Amino acid sequence: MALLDVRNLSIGYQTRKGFLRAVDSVSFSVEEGKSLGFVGESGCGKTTIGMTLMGLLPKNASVMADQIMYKGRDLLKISPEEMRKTRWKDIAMIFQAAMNALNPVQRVGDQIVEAILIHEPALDKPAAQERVEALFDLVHIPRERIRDFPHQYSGGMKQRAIIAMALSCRPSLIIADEPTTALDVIVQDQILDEIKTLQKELILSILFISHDIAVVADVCHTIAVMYAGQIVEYGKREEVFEAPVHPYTKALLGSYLTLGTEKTQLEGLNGETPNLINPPKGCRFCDRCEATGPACRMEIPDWIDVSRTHKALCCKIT
Amino acid sequence: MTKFNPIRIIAFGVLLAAVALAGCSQKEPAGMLRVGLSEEPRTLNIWLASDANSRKILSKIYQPLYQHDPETLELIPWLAADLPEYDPETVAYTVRLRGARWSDGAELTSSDVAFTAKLIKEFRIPRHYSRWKFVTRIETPDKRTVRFFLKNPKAIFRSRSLTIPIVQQKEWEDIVRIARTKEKPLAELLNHQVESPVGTGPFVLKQWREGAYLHMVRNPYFFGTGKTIAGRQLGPHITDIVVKIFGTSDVAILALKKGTIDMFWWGIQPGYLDDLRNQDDIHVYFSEKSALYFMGFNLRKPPSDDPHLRRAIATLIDKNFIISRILQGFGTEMYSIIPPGNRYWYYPEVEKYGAKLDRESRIRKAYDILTEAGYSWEAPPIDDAGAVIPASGIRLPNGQPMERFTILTPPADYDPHRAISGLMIQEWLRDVGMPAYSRPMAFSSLLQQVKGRHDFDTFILGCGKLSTDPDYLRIFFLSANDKPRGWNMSGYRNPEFDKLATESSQAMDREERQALVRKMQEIVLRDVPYYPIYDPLLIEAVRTDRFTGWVEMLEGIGNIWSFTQLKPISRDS
Amino acid sequence: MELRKYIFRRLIEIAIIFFVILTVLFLLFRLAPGDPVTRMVDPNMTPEDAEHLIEQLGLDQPIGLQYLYYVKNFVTGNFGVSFHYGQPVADIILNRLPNTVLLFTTSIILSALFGIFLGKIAAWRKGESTDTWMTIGALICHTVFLPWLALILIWLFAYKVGWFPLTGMISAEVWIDPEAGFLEKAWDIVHHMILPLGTLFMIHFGSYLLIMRSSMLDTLKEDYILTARAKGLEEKTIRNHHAAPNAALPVVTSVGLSLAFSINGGALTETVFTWPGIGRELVFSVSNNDYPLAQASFLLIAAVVLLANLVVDVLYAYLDPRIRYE
Ligand SMILES: Nc1ncnc2c1ncn2[C@@H]1O[C@H](COP(=O)(O)OP(=O)(O)OP(=O)(O)O)[C@@H](O)[C@H]1O
Ligand SMILES: [Mg+2]
Repeated sequence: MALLDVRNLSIGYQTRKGFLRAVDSVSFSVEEGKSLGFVGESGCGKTTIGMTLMGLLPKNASVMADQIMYKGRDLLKISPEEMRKTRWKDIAMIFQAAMNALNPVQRVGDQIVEAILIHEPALDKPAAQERVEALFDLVHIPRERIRDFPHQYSGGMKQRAIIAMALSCRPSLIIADEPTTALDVIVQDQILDEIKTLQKELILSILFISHDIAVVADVCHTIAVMYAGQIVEYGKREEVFEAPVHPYTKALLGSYLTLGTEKTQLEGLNGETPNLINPPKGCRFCDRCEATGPACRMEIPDWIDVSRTHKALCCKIT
Repeated sequence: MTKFNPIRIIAFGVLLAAVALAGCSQKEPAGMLRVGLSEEPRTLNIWLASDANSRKILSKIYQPLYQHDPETLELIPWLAADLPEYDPETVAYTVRLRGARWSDGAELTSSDVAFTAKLIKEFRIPRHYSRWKFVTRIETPDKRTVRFFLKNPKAIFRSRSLTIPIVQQKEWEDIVRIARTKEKPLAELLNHQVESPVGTGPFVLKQWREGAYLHMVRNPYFFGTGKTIAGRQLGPHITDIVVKIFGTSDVAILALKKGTIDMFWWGIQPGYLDDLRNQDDIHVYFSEKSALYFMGFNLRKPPSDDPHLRRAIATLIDKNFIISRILQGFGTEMYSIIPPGNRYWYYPEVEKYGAKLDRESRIRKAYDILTEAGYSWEAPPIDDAGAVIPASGIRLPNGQPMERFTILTPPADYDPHRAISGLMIQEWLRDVGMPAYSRPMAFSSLLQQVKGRHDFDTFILGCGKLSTDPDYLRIFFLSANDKPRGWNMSGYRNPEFDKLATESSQAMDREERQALVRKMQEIVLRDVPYYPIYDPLLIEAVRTDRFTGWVEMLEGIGNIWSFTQLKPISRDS
Repeated sequence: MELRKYIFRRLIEIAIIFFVILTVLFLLFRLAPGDPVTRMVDPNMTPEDAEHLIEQLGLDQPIGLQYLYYVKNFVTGNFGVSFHYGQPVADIILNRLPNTVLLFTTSIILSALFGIFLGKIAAWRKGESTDTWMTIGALICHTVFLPWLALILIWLFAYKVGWFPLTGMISAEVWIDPEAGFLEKAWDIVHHMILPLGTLFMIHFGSYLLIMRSSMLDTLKEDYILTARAKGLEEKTIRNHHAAPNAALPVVTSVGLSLAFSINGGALTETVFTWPGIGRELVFSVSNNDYPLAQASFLLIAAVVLLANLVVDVLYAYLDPRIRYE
């Protein structure tokens, strides 16, 4: 059985301009010890999904889903208090803006100890501190930096510290929301390597979020390509990365091949992502799609199974 | 769930404390008079004290040789046994002492009196020196007799010099000896800290807790106790005076209504009257003040150097309006420089200008005065048909247009009455086309402009607490006093007046002096360097449930007669 | 040590600024119109008297010389004698200062504590009715005219209901009574303090509430708050342990300076409540050209404010590890 199994998850935000459907019936699952990567342009709803799993959506958000089964419990049905206890203990998250994710006026070590003690009240402080030391060894930060304040750390160290913090309660699932975007290329590689190693060593499940398909392909077993709130292609790393079927995935890969890891306007993709308050009726990508036809605008696309593990949401594929 | 909520806890605490206290109120002894003052006295050093509140306290302690009768304002022997004897041969006054004791039990002797006078002369004590500098020699033939030799006859000696408070030689001797040797002797003397002043008055200071209260108790050695002076049997019958301070009249009046004080020793605004009249236990006294509120002209420069213009302006001022509307009726119209309350010296038969006239008649009369003096207009205030119309463009007799004419007043927050009067006068002057502008100005700036720099057209000022002796009439208008900081602020120079003034100051015969002073009033009102406007009424309120016997007098009920005659109302009845 | 060096450098700066203030104050008061002698229309005061007095007060000397004396006296700790009280200025100030501190400083501390506490709650409950009412209440209290509020409170609680004494700092009746003990007297002061303290509290706490509220709202948007929440911390822990301390930091500056300024009391409050503080002396000394008193009082305030600035800065460095002084 999958560790996490999400069925038909839709998330909307109540905004001043109207109801914004940030995520539209997505289904995915994460196996124990495996990693799932979400990739897509800015604003396609990746973080929203992560936040939903953490139960940290803002007040104006509303969630609908058939189920969000995690270790046999439906996260939609548990109480806020239970959800709180699940956070970090079971599901930890590395946030997009890691640079500011640590409280500037508290010592890094203390912030990790705090996380440990809240979930393991039986533990005493020295024990928790010992664990922090071990964690720092694990993410390769010198122990003597435990008592430093966040501003004394470099960007890479902060990110490592956060990874250490995410690991501190030994969660089964870690959501890593663009853990490396703010870092320079070399540090980025180091961190990614570290995540990969840790995942193998600790047999972690990771839900990895990135706008960079290469990074996702490097880290994850399964890839979900998202566009405008929907998953448009879903499959094993090899399938999606090497034999993409959806035009959007192809475009993403194209931009990767030409531009490397730099964050630029996707090649060949002119125009903007659709408005999520009033999304187009048919295929959401059709305006920017090279292969678009008249049917794309009218018909709601269906899932096409390319293989048992590989599928795409497109009317053009047969 | 027990949640710490500081608001609730504090609120609860305050409430509890308040309720605990609600019932308990202090019981004060029957003889304890509680007086409210608007401000703390600044000093107990009688030579430094220039503020009203210090003087109120000190006047219960330090006593003069003579007081004024509350009704006639005649001199009444106080520390003196009887009226001074004047010997024209030697130009000397002899004063015999009654035989009083200081509050420390020592006897008051002639040498104390001589000491006080010499101290004033030696240190040239401001405000006192001018009344003593003409005394050349002081003799003390015996313990009870003092003789003062004057350079020349001085009318003011009796009522101005002999009414200064006497201090004890023993208390001041050492201080004087030390001060004398200093580089700034007067400053040294003024800065001496007096903690417990020794006086001959009905009360002594027991305690002054700065910032809170003063506590005075009956002086057991007070010479007047049991005596009848000026037909009044003196006590004092009150055992203690507690002086409390109230920063605002609003609260002082609440205190009076509540019974926290028995008297508020400060003039009350008419606005409070309705409220006070409705109170059972409160009585309101209206007293004449010895004050002069006037408009002063600058005679040193045009256009106010022209007596015709001054007379025209005087004609235009509607005193009745100022009193009835601005003062709400709590004041008297003033015609002469000497307030009407000062009956002996007051002379009503002076020129009264616009008195009793309506607005149109006043404009007509002013117009006549001005045209006769050669003034002209672009648009005169009286048209060919004789009707009063809006005027403009007044020109001086030399044909020049009149420039901006400024009326300086104190600011409204200092004294609304004067500030508003200034505005009204501005309008009345504009009726005859004068470019008049009323300008409120901070008090110290105003004084500097008027008294120091002599840079003004006109101003409105008040002079409170004028002495009973009319010598100020001379001081205000003597040519010699026209100098920076001098009291002749108008720059009035009239040899005829100077001569009369000098004569009056030397006229030893009271009636002769009265005639001279009348003549002086007449001249001043003819030339109008000052134009008197009003004398406000002093409104004071007391409680009637604990004490009785307040004595009404010029300048209010807070006089020595009240404090020596006031009787507690016995509680048993 | 770096901090010690920093403090030393700042102290030198403060000394220089202080000297400038000292000079400016001197000029300001001498250039103000009027003099200490001509302040009443009293015909007894002749021009000769006035000049004599001016000479005795040392005001007849050239202004440069007066300035030198002033600086010299100041450096030697001689603040002079008040023209109108005839008392050493230091005595007057020392007499009033404790009263001012007792009332005004206490009121700032109380209103800051409450303001910060309530501002925290208001921000936490942003959009709820608690927040709306608190904000409206704070705004009203913040804008209400102090003497008016004071008089209303006096009328209601002291006059009508009679819970508190009308005004003043102590009751003559209690302190005259030789049998009154220490406790009774202490309570008497507290009893007199409640109304003025309440008034000042109402006037001041609003602004702290509003500052804290907005600072807290900013803080709540910070990423580390999200982290704290993700860590599974309880809401109260997040609010009190992560958000509030950080949000209170900028409020510290404001409170620190208010505390420093509180020693100048408030002429209006002191007048209405007849509180023998320093505020009225300030106003009196300025309007009556009592130069020594005015200069010394303002210099005291300047010194306290300058030093408070330094203390706040150092405190800030202590509270916020990001700030370090080199
Ligand atoms: N609190 C919110 N209120 C309203 N709309 C929101 C809110 N948060 C996100 N959105 C909208 O929801 C959509 C999805 O946002 P989300 O942050 O999940 O995107 P993302 O894929 O994580 O983008 P990025 O790569 O920039 O992080 C966007 O259109 C965004 O504008
Ligand atoms: Mg995101």
